[in-house]
Amino acid sequence: MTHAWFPGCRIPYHLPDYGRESLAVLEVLGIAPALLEFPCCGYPLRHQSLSASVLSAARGLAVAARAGCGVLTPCKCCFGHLRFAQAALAARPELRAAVDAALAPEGLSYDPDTPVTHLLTVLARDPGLAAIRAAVVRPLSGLRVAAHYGCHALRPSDVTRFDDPRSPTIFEDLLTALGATPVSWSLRLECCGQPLAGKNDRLASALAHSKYVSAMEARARVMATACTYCQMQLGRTGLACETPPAWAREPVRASPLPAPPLPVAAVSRLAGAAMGLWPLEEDMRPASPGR
Amino acid sequence: MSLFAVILWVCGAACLGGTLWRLSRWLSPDRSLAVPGLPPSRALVSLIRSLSLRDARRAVPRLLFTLVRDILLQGHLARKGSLWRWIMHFCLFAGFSGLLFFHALEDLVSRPLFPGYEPTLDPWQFLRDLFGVLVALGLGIALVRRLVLRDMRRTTRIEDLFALGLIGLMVGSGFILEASKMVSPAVFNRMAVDYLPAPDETDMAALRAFWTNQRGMVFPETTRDTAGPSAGLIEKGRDLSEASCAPCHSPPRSAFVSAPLSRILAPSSAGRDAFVWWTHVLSCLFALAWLPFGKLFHILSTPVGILLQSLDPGLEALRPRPQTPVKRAVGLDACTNCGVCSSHCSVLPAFLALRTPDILPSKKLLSMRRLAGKGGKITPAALAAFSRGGFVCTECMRCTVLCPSRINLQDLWLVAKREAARLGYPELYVRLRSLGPEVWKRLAGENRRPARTLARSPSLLDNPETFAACVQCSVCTSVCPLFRLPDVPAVDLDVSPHQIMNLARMGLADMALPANFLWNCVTCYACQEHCPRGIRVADVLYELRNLAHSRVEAADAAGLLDDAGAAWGRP
Repeated sequence: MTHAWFPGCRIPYHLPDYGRESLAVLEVLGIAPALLEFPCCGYPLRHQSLSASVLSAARGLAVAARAGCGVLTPCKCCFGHLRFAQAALAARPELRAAVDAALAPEGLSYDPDTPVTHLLTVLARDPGLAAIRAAVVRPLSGLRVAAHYGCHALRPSDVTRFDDPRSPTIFEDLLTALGATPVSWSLRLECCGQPLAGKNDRLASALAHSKYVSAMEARARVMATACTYCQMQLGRTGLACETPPAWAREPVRASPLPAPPLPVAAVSRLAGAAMGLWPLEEDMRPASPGR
Repeated sequence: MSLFAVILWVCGAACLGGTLWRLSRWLSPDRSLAVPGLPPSRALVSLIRSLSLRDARRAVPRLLFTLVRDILLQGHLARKGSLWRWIMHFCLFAGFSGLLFFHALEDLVSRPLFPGYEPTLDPWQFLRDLFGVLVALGLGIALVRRLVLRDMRRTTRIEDLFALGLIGLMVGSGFILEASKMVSPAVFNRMAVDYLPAPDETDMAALRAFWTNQRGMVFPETTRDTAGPSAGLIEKGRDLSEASCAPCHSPPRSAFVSAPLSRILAPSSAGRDAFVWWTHVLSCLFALAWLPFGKLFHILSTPVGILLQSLDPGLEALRPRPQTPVKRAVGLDACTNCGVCSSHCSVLPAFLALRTPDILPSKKLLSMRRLAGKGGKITPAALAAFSRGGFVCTECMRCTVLCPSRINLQDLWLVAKREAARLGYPELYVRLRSLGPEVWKRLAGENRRPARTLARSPSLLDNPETFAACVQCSVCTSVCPLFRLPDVPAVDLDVSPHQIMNLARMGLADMALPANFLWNCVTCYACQEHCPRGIRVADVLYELRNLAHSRVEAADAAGLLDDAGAAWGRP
């Protein structure tokens, strides 16, 4: 089944590089997902209203099903919530009935069998690592990478069915295929803190900080993410559009988060660099052995 | 001064004054959600600085290009909207402009520009009907779209239909007015007296015969006359008409709508003719006076907005930069409520499920516009309404990419959210997490729902099975990432997950709602994954937050929290 690209809401404005680079890497592997117009996956609404968030997810899945596609997303929160919605709709007939009633006037129908796939799965499992190895032209030899897994793809594992929730390997497998050296670090499965950003900045930044420290203790040169929200939280990509220009005379809002003490790259950046699509930034290159 | 002239001057003054008032609001933006207050001089300086006019060699061609492509040809509607949208609006735009310049403003445009212009000569007589038909066509498409298409119906306001109705009245009464003049004996007689050299009764009869037979004129007396006029009389009438009428009158048939209409309307009556004339004149003058105060203002504001934005390459590159206050104010006014943003909105399903009006971008923008002119008197109710819908936005930028009026919506949403939070109306989550135990107790009392009454409720909280296996082993707490962080203030971890499970299983879910931990949970699902008894810990925490939202939504709907609403939002 063909994939439909489900970038998630935060890509176009907040993290356009991740979306663009992911599509470029997929293209190298011969995967060209269909570009459809999707609604929000519903994840941000889950606190407020389960039914609203499930309706949003079901609508997205129905849009993909109408085009005969499965959903492919680079965001673990989108992935996790779409899977969560599928499980909720399977378990709760009253939710399913409400969703069907809401989608019918739009000429859409929810298909429980619409595949939901995360970018990592497509890179490391679908074409197989052999395809990745074949595409690598500049292996990331000697680059010690801390793979940050993120929460919502892994857990709850009976719903997401992503990888072994206690000792996943999918990210490390991919990094090894790219020629990098994944490091073993204690907090690799822990939360990045993004869900509390803007809600409890002190805790959000403490969580991020603990992850940086753990990765650096394992002597990682780079931390790698595979989720829009994790990358936004840990990578702190400064948005030019959010820095008030000189004429605005608005106070510059200092970010509550600490500046990342080590570079944080989305998986697509590393994969594309290994495939020769773009050079890696200076601060992400392996430390030269002489130093 | 005639009554007409008085009304004309009053309406013209209203239009001019209103337009100046709107323009002054662009230059002196009031403090509002989207437009921080600035003195006019600073606002203007910041606008000029942001335009990067220094590079005039690039700015001027870009302005001209935008003027031709997006304003004269309305290309933005085809590129960002749809072909039907373009056809609809181009018909309205072209027809309306034609009628405005060559009919309404004929003394200022047509007469000076075209020597020998007479409104009853071709091509003007033909063009006037053509322009009218274009407007009517666009109007019909617009009405069908607004009333039939589901996406359009969702965002259509009374004002949109009123504007369409007003245009319909202007054009419809125009056609009827022209038709009734064609068959008006009073007009015929006045013209004959004025232009026929010394007419006698035979001349008049001949002219009447010619116009009745050849030009579709209808006289009350000729309709009674059963025997037709003689050919000689008609020939004499033709000669008279050629000499005296033809220089100013083309045959009426070129007015391809009014001429057939005139035969339906005949015979004319003086009272009806006056009524039609006043209807046409008053509807047009009302539109003129209403222009700055309603939807029709987009005739000015949208082109200004498009031209201003055309100087900003950031929007084309899909990386909107922050806007100057003037551009924000123009942007607020440039919205035509076309509904493109709302029909493509990422959180449209949230609107369909929650029915919070200000979720949809077009409605949110109109709310912000209403808040813009209040001179700092933004009411708590309006702010609360904005906050409730506005914070559902996920900032996906699709509306900004698709907006046919090229409003930098992304910038407006970001700045309005920041401003609403600053004024004490942050997102609902932040407001909820700061509500104290006494409030939750009151809300639970208002909404007395004893636990475990709904035997077959799908809710986890209502179902004793959810917690039956819990042995309070506290594994959930020990794997929680917050509990292993160093230096977390005790207040943030007031209650632990296993304690919340215990509260919930005792039917005391409402007591868990004020717990700081409930709102600090990062929903990482480590607890649920590691629970040796298979309790859905994180799902229960989510459900508790849902419960808190529904409690507050019910209280807000009942007006219980309005008085203290603003204070509660503050941390």
